[in-house]
Amino acid sequence: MDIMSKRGKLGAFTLWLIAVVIVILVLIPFLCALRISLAYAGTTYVPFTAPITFDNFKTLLFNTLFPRWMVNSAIISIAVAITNTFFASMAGYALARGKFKGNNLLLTLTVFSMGIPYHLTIVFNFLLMYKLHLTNTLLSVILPLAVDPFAIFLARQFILTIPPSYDEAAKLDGCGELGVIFKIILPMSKPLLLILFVTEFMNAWNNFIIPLVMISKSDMKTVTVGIADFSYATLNVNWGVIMAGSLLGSLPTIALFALLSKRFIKSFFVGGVKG
Amino acid sequence: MRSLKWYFLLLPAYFFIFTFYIAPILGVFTLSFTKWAIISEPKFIGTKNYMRLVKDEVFLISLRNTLLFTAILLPSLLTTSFLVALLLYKLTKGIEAFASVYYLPMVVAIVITATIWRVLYSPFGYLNQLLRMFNLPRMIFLSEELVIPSISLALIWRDTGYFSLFIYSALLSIPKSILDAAELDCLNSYQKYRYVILPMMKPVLFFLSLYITIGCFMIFAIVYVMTGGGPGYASMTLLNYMYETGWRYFQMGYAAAQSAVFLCLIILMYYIQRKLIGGGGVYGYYE
Repeated sequence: MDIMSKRGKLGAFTLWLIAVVIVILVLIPFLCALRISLAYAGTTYVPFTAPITFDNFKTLLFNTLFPRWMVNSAIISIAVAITNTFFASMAGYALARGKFKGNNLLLTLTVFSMGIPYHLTIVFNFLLMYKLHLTNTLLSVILPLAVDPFAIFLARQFILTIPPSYDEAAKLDGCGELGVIFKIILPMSKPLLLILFVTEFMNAWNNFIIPLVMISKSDMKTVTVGIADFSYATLNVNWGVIMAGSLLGSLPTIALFALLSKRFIKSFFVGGVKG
Repeated sequence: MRSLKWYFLLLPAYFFIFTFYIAPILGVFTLSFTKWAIISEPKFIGTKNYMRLVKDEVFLISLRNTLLFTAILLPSLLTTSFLVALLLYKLTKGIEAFASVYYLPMVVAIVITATIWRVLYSPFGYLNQLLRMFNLPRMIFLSEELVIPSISLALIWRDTGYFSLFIYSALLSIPKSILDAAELDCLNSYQKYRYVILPMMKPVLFFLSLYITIGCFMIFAIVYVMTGGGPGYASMTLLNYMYETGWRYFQMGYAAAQSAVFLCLIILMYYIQRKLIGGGGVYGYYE
């Protein structure tokens, strides 16, 4: 018995060690990027013991368009997060509670749209924005991302979990339709609204193809397109600056994830997630 | 009259869905029969774009590369994520903390992942320094022969943690009683995995297989940043070629034809999925 538990402990320790090794494997690329960004050389390899400088960050923030791109990305992502939170939850509520013609059809349409990648509609969406003279504006990125079918679906699934008997009870207490929405549904949907806002913010921040296609003026670009440009456009590629940009560019999404990581992985810990 | 309220709630969201998802699908099919160089108006040219497509060597290379990515990533991602899922399942402490870190690469923009890995892969970069430490010859990771395996490795690094959570979740849903019964039947741990756990993992593995396959077809940004499709056409994928066609050579009609073929492929995959496991959408993809 004693030997068994000893073996069990040893096994548990080995597993823990493997888990830590994987953590290191996940983090190493970021650490390499950090090391390069804090070095003078601007090369792709910097020994970990080399002296540290913040020159690359200074160059990035004062001599490139990077701050402008960050602002553009922030405007786009916040706008997209707001429109999604607002419109998708409205539609999700209607799909979950509404008794009207075409409910099922709209749901099917939503699930179908969820599977359509931006890349395959981009030719037409570009034509549309071009005809509306919106290319090279932030709107041309915001509009195609403004309502994500996945957000509608998520909202519907969430609101379905709120028992309809709550609505009934509120109505018996004299609440009108609007009262039900504002007094029952909205307060109970706070987790939903938060997750919609955050995932859609990240979705917009990380999107590449839409700003790549819609925007060609350097000062209207987003962080993702700007970083991709960096490594091609400049003659003397300074990897220190590019790595600094990569790290700062991923900071907003990493920070949001760090704040809410429990919520992100929670659904996987219940068991039986299908997708 | 009562349903008017619902339509009011639905209107803004579905205005966007129709404009940016449904109409573009119809639009892409229409555009695929035209010649359109952006500055001029689209001109109807019948099925010429499609005729050109079947004879286009670069398109066929791109298709081959995309299939190659799938052939590499499907088995390797399923294996790595299954192993990581088992690890999480076996861990007794700190599971959530480990899972959060493993999830992390997924929240970073793929463009940034690609930029960082491009640096790691560079001829004098960290990976080659590592090889030198072990007295191994220098490798050109983004050369014609190695470019697809190298990009695949970066994607494995990115996606393993995320996918493992799906499998982990499925492992959690195995009823304790079944595992106890296996124990009572004196199955050793290999037998337990082979005959009890693995069969129960079939639905999630199947779901992930489709997810990964569609994801492989969606590879775009990582190639755009790391190689631009090169050297030559060695890492050109379907989407990278579509982008080149449309926005480098300004042949939007031809790009639309490629999108249309692609859309049919995707719809076919969903159809197969629905037939085989029914319901539930596969969402999320690489860029």
